Amino acid sequence: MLNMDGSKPIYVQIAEWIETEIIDGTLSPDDKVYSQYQLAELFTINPATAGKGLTLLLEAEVVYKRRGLGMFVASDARDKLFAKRKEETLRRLIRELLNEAALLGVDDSHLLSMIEAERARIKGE
Amino acid sequence: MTVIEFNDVTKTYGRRTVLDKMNFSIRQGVLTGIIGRNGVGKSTLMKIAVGHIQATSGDVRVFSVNPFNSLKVSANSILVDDAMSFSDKLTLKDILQEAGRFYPNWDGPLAQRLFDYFGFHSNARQVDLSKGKKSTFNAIIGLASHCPVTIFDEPTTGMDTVARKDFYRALLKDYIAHPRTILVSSHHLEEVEDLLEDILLIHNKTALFHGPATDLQEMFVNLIGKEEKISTFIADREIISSQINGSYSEILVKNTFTSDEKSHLHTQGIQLVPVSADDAYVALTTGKKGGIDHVFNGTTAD
Amino acid sequence: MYLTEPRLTNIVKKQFLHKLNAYTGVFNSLIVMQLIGIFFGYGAGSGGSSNGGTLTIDYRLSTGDGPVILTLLWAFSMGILVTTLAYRNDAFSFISNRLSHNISSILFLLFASAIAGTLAPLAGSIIKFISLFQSNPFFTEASGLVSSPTDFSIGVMTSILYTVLFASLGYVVGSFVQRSKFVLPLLIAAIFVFPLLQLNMGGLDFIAKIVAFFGSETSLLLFLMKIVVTVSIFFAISIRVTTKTEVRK
Repeated sequence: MLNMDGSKPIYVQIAEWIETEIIDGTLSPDDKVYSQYQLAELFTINPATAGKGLTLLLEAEVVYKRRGLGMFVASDARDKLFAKRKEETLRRLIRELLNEAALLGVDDSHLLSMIEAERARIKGE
Repeated sequence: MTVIEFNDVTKTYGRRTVLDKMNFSIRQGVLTGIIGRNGVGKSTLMKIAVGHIQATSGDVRVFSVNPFNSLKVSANSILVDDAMSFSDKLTLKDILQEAGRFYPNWDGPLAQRLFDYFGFHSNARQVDLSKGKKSTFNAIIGLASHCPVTIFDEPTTGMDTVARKDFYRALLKDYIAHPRTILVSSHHLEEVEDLLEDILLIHNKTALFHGPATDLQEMFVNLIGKEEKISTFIADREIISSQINGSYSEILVKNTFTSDEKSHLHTQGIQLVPVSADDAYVALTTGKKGGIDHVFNGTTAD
Repeated sequence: MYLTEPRLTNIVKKQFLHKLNAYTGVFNSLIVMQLIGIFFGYGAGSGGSSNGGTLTIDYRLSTGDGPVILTLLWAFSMGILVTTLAYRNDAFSFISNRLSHNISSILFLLFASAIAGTLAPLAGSIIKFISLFQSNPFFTEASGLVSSPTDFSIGVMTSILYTVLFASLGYVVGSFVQRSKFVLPLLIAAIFVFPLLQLNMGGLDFIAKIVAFFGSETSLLLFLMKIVVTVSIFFAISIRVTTKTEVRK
């Protein structure tokens, strides 16, 4: 669901919510995406705001429009979203990681060994 | 198509000016929030729009005619506010029936379903209702009338939390089913901001901002980072508020950064955090201020 | 967008019907006033006895004026009442403008006056009827419903017209009071000061002339015309002075 108390604009949250639906496979390529009115009802938001969220996805070519029928998931939507999240989310996290490491004086080899150790711990669980 | 138009509209009561050369226009089918602090003239604006009161000067057009004494505007608009009253000789049931006789688009079944849902008694009188119940009853009339221009002035006054949520959800659902021009006033922006397409922000007797709710939100941004790093970026910027937590600063500024500047900020470890529409509204209406911390810093320095 | 193009006549009709539902309090107060009228009217009768040697005549005069006078008072106050802010605010909760509200209020006043004006002489007849039973009469009522239907219907007609006159007077007074809060004290002052000041200059004479203008008219048709013209002027003035009033402020 949306993080309504968050300060991210609601239409960005709408776009991200649909992106997650595509990434986790709830929506497959060529599936019909919720209309702006369905989204408006679902989240109790203005249809125009919901429409803005869809426009974001349309501009990123994650969805495509069929005249009179609505929006549908693009065939390469997942790949695009993976690339985008890698570029945006992962890079941001790495930057934060590096900043924190620099603050604590952790050098690269130490950092890499920490990553390896964490991976092993996750596998062990 | 423009439905409501105010051109240089001024309203004075005696020597007190409530609206001063107000200009704005509302497009057909847009759900607009009239936002402002208490006593800025939100109600006055609404009463002028439906022809209950007259502008002192300026030109008001609703459906292209002057609303004052216009039967056309009265028949196609409804204002739900505290002053909406009905004869104490009529029961609530009678009032719904009378509303159905007057308003051509009246949705009787909807009115009845809402009436039952909110637990009203047919034989009760409007004057005997509690404040919140009266607001709810009036709101039902406002919704079910399906007027091309529907105006709610602080509609949730006195309602409990559940009733407020129910009302706003009902408003949205009915708006989606029957798109029409709706104005809702509130001094609690956070309560209505998600519902709104546009915001008309009234401050100092005039329209300070009119546009998409999301644009208001994106007018400002919070910078969070090390104080010494931030200070180089904000030297020539207007600081709306600042808060210092240890070596980290949180500074609210106008969001006028280019994408180059933004990536530069990122590399310096400064976060750009969006603000809520409510924060933006407060920032816009309180103007340049150093925040509460500056009040204390000021006294020690002087 | 589908916009309604309302017709004034249609809205006035809806408002008139609405007022019949919403203003029922007016009729309750009418009944109370006329009952009071009957009560006092009966008590207010005068009697006496004349002795002509061998013949003694006991007489008792009963008047049916009590209900009529109270009905006129009622009409005047009803005229004021329907101009008040509360009534206007109620009207503007539904479709209305100032003209349609005025016209439908006036129609309501005419309707209510017709009922009240008809009931007043009937209430007067009740007084006479009670008197009839209490004494052992030789002569009974004059111009009663049974004894003289033509006279009685003229009486009803006159009663209705007077009621309308007083209602319209109340309406015009109420309209001026709504227009400005300074009107009311001025009006009260005028009522008391005007006769005092003008006592020697024909002030009372002026009032007497007004009373005579209506009261001494012997032709029903002329009387009717005098009332219609006066009432029309009152209503026209009322509509004129309230055309800019603000509602639900």
